[in-house]
Amino acid sequence: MPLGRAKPSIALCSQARTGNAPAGAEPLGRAKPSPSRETRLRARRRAYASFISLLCTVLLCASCAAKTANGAAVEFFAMDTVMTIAANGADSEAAVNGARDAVLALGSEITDGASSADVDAILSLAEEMRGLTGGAFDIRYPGSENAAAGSGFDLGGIAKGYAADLAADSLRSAGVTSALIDLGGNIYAVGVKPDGGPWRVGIRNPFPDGADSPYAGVLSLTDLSAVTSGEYERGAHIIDPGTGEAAQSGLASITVIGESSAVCDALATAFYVMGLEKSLGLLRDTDVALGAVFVSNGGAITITRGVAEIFTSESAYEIAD
Amino acid sequence: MKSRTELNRRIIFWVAVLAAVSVAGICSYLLLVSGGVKSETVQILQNGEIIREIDLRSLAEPVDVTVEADGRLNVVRVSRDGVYMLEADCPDQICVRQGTLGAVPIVCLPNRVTVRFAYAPPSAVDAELG
Repeated sequence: MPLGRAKPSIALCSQARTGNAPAGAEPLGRAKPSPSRETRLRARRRAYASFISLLCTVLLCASCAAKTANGAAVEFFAMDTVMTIAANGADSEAAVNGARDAVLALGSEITDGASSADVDAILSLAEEMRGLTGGAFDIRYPGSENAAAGSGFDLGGIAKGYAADLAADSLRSAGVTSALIDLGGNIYAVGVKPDGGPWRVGIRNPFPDGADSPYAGVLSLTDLSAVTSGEYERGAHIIDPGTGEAAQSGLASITVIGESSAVCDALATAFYVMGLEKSLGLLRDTDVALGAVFVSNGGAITITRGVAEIFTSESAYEIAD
Repeated sequence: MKSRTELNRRIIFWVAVLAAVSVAGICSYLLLVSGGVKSETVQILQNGEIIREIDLRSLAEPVDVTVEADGRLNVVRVSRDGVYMLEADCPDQICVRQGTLGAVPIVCLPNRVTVRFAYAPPSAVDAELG
């Protein structure tokens, strides 16, 4: 089962905690039979209150980084999307919390328009990707999402990917060897599953009606990221920097697979503008990403040679050289 | 005395809060480890093949499902209140004695009949994209 399903308890986390935190600060009673008795009562009350608030805190924190069968998972909201980080192993609880904090910190740096090493790194990577894609990826053209406050830049096509890389690095440096990071559709698979197999990530079929499978295909990922870009679900949100219009390249869904989620993220956005042939050309000429899976508006699936070994599908597909 | 009543009330309140939180936590944990939600659908299998699927919610009246194969007979009573083996011509009658269907399937080994709840199949993928 997808690891991100531990929703019921986790989603309540932040509200529940603020709601219950003042247990120890509860105003004390009014009736004062006698001073000594009052003191006694107060002491008892305090003892109860602190015991209960301690218990609540313990329970609620446990639900923040909920234990899973093999480790811990955390779900949170950042960069306008729901994110889950799930890791396996003994010390995974602290590790997933650390990864979450890294993503949250990046999210607020971007929202605040703050200058930081990470924001600078995103900006310089974005510039690199603009060059690589011949301008098809361009954060200077403000789209509809995630515009960094005051900067005039739209980091929506790269920030989540960068955040996934941050989270993966954070987990790895905490010693995690098995984790799945899902930042609102930007997936990073760290290591292998507890059973030793690769992480299986389904690419949703943009045209599920009448299809045999809900997936256009399934990727088997180990230490790889996959990022999908498409408009069938969220409506037109990718702008062609060349024309200033919503991009129309004949592609319904593009998934880019590689070691850098930020690069995958930027390329998936750019490919949407570039169309199939140019995108295939770019992947042939560079090794910034492992490969990609394209689904055309007509439903045809094309994958690159680089991902042939990790892609399976119940539908027919073509391998492009 | 008033303050003591109030104290008691407060204790009860917090114990209730604690209990609610614990129950919610335990439920979601169970949901997590069970790998899916128990469905309301009962499956009857003969020799490993599903021969009948019944959605309990669709039942107004109890239904008796007769399974006949190789001259053997089983009757499964399916109702909203419970599912059990009403009758079987097997020698050991273990399936009949098992009573109401729970998480463990009712199996009539001699007749190769299985009655079980259909579980939402565990997902074939760990995450989804797109």
